[in-house]
Amino acid sequence: MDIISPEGLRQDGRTATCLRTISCRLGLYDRPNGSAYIEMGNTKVLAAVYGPREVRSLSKQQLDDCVIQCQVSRIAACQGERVRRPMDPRTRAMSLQIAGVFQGAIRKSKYPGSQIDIYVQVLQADGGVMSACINASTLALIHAGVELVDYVVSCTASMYKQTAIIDVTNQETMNGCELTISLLPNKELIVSLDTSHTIHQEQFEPVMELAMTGCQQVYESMQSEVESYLRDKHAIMSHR
Amino acid sequence: MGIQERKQKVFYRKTKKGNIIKIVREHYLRDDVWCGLDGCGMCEGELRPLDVLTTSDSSLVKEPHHLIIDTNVALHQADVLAHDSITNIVIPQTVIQEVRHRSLPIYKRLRDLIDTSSKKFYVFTNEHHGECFVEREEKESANDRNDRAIRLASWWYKQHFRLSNQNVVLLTNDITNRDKARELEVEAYTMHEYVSSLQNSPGLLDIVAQVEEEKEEDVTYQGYLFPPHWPMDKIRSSIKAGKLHQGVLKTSRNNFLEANVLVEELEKPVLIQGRLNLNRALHDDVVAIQIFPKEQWSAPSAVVIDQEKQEEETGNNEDENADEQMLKKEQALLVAGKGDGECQPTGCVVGIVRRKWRQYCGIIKKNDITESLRHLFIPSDKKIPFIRIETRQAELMYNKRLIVAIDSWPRNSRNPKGHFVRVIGTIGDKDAENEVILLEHDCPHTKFSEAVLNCLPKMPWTITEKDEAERDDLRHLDICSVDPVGCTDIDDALHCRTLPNGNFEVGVHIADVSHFIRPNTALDKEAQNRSTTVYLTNRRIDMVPDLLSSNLCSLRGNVDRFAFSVIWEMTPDAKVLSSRFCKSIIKSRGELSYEMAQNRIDNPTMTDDLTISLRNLNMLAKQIKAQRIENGALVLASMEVKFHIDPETDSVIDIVAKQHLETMSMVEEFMLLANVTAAETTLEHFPDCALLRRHPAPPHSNFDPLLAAAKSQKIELDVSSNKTLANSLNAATKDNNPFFNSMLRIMTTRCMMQALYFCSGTLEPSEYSHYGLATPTYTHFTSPIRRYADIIVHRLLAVIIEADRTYPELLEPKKLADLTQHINYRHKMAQYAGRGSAEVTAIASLKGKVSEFDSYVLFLHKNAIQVLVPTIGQQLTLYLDKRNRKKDEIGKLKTKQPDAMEIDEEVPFPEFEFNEKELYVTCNDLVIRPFDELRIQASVDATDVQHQRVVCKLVRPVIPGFSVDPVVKEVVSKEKEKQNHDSQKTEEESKDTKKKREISERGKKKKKIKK
Repeated sequence: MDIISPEGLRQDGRTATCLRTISCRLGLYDRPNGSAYIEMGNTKVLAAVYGPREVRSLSKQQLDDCVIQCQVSRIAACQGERVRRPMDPRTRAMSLQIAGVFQGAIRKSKYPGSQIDIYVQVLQADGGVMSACINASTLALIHAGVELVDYVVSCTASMYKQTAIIDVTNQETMNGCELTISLLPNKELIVSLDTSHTIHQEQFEPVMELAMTGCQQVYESMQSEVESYLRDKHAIMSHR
Repeated sequence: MGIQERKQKVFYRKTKKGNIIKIVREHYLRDDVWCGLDGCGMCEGELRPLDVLTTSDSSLVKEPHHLIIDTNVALHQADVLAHDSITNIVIPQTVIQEVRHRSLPIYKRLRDLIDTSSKKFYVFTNEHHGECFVEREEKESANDRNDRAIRLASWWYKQHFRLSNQNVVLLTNDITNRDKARELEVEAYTMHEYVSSLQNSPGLLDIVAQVEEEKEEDVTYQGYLFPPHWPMDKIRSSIKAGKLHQGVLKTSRNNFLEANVLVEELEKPVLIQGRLNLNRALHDDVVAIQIFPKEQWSAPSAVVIDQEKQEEETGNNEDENADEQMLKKEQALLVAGKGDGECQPTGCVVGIVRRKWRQYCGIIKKNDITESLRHLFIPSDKKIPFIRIETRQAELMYNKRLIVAIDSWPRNSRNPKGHFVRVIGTIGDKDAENEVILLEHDCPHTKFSEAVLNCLPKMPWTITEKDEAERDDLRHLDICSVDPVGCTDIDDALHCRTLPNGNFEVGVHIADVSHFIRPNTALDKEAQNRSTTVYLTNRRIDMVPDLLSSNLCSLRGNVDRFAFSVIWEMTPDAKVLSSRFCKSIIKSRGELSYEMAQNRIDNPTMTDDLTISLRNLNMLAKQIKAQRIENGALVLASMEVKFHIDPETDSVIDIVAKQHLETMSMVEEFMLLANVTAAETTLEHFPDCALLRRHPAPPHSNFDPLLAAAKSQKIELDVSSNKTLANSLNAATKDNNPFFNSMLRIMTTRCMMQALYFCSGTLEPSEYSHYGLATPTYTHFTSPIRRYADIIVHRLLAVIIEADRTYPELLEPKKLADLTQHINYRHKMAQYAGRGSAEVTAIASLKGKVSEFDSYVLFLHKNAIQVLVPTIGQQLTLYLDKRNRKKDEIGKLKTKQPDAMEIDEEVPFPEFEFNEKELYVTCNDLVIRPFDELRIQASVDATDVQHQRVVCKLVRPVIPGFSVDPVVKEVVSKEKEKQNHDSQKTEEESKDTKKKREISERGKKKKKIKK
């Protein structure tokens, strides 16, 4: 199958460097301290943040540090055939990775002795699940008012023949390597980098570059959503 | 500019387990899909191949117009689209996607056409065009939706082109689609309507495929010859249920009415006999078959049935009864020829899963009714049935080689229907014959494109200081190359010198092709596609352009050349102590031929360094060979001969058996050693992606024909391993038949499996071994100029010695595995092409005279003996049946030739009896067994200019009523035979024409050559 047609368009009609449509929302639920929903194309993820709150198990408590926990789960019908177990080793690994990403992004010194829990649920998976989870978590943390060093934004890229392609769908990752990068867009620091397969040295650079430009675009959409959320919130508050 | 709207495509798919899953995919619509017209005011786009047209050739559409095609036209009329007069076509994306889905070969062809800039084809991405996107409606079939999408695209084009005063015409084969398009006020015609309206290309109409729409099954119509094919869904479910089997159909070489289907789940191939049971399946098609109950199983027939012969005998009757009679006759023939061998599962074809139709080369059969449009096309591939075509220019096609494509095979037609594609050239013309061979074997043979030639280094080419720094300078060594006379693509050279410690340093230097062919360049892609150089008897089709193959890469004498060297340290008893690879610069001291090298070695007065090193090499090579044979390597024989051709007249001057010199095996041994060393080194460093060559051990059943034949001469062979086989082959000799051992080795070669390239990551290490050479790992490293596999091996080795970098495709086992499959295919085809060319040349050398040869019996059949003629390196068929003879005589009587009456009819035709169990043919008290020596007469029957064939007749042993008198007196021929026995060359010129005619009057035996 041609991932990019000779006419230069991908299967879904995008060009190689074009992201899928991103839409996100903040504040879906009342019970968690923060919640957010993001759609990157057909990858749809929900995130909820509880905390900062008291550490549940005393053994984990550290007086000068903040415990960050993450749990990713998938709904049974998120992709293709039914997923038997919502939690498998891969989602567990993802949970740890996301927790690790936010260890670096949350100003932990502000919350000593407390715990922040991030719950992520994958509603639909169509490539770039990890990215969507990180982006949703960032939004949920922002909604919860947790202090962050910077946004954490994430994007994927891959290679098809000699062309780097951004924001890959499930179909496009079938026989290629999916590279997921997450970074702090204002500080231009890479927080995490992950590849699903081996990728040749020569191809690594262009793919990473492309993923990083993708991150900046993701950042813009996320930021404008946060701003409009705050504007609405402010309007409501002042109205009251 | 960019994405305009987002849609979701929803569809359902059944998984292998049978679960149904819903798949949702995004579908973006864009506002930057351009029309592709060069000169359109509104569209931008970089790619705009379509011209602004000012004239129209069609009488149907007066104003200038572009064409839009639908899927059916693209699928079935690719030949018309490829015609030079057809340009400026818009292909909607819907069409190209559907074509891709339905037939990959046609898709590739279409893509090639699109890439040809002079054709001016444009792919309009209508599916992603904001205004042309069509959503599938409820209860609408996918096909209907696609048709609607194509119509909408045409409509859009019409509106869009109005502003630039252009017009479009939709070509479709579907009448309802055409009419619906007309409702949208889009002009639409069928291909046939449109092409017949073209005024300037009268010949084009022949190329239009005659596609008949699948008609409803008419139960009352009785004229069907063939049972219908089952519908596809029924086939699928029955295969799943185990009622049917799926496999590839392979037509027998000897009998066009018989085929085997290789079914994966069954051990033995399934036999299909008869035209009705074959049910319109062609060689290589993937078919669904039903296996008969056991009591109807049968054995492969023991006769040779030739399609042409059958066709001739029935004549060219056009009426329907003839078809039925023909079928009955064929059936009778099969029953008569029923073998007494072991019964095999037998079945019939009930449906065709995938057609492997391609374009066929061949000739047109002369039709007695001159004004008739219908003609019969005879493919040059004997496994393909004759094809019925319609043409108005038959006169132009006689005496020509043609290409024809099959369109359909309706149930009521004995032969498939097709259409004429193009003329290759005149029969007998060197270029035309070569092209037939190349086309039939799918060898790319066009000139190298501009893009490829641009990748070549600029001349004059010099060695830079950087090169010198990177490479080992071996110019001081006495390196020389040893090759056949006249070889211009020299890819290997050797040296040997004595080291102070008494050991030898031996070097093999291979042309450094990978230095010039960089990965992923146009040159690399072209070389990869060709995969190998094809050698025909009078032409060489290079894998890489001439500048590289005969100049920069060729290790010519006394010039500096880049090489990839492997250097061993060896003890005087040829034990390898160490080996290393390096990129080097060498200067060959001379391009020696095998004979020159041999003379140097044999001439004791020559004591220069080069000669001494050659002697040492020869000494070491003998020991290496002994070691190899000790390990169980096989020495096999082939019957290759060399043709000396007069370059001016293209006629064969002489045929000589390939001589064997010590120096040949010397070079061979070191090449093998270099290959083995390369294989071991690459495998060690790249366990997952080394490109190796394996030769699987043949299954025991492969040896059955060999063992049976050997048994008939009371020889027992032990085939349990390669070593025992080699030993028993050495022991098997016959004093009265000096050629016996070679024959046995030739037959053994035919039992072998094909050697194959593979990627080490895809197989278990136990499967790596090479049976013929008795080595655990083997690869090809020594001929990068003419084999692509060697280039890959070079690249891997270059990475190992840190002289080069890897690139992504090199390290992916899956990609490499795909590549090896491609190379294997091309290699096989190139081999067949080479053999086919030798066959054509051999036949050409027989033309215009009667020659006598010594031959040896290879296979026995009920009605024919296949013999091997070492002198011309060909296999001929000697028919034993009376039928031809009678027919020929009648034919001759009809033409009222005066000599016809002179035929000696008194001697009755002898009866031949064939014993399949013990493998012999008896005639009265004469017994013919495999390996027996026969003297035969061969001549080319040129009565039909269209179709010349070799006729074989028996000379000795004398069978009254069957054998013919020798052309030359026995005594003379015997003397001559003695003289030429060593080179096994006997060829007699015909004496006088009168005598020749007389002989050809007698029992005519036709000849058939097995590929």
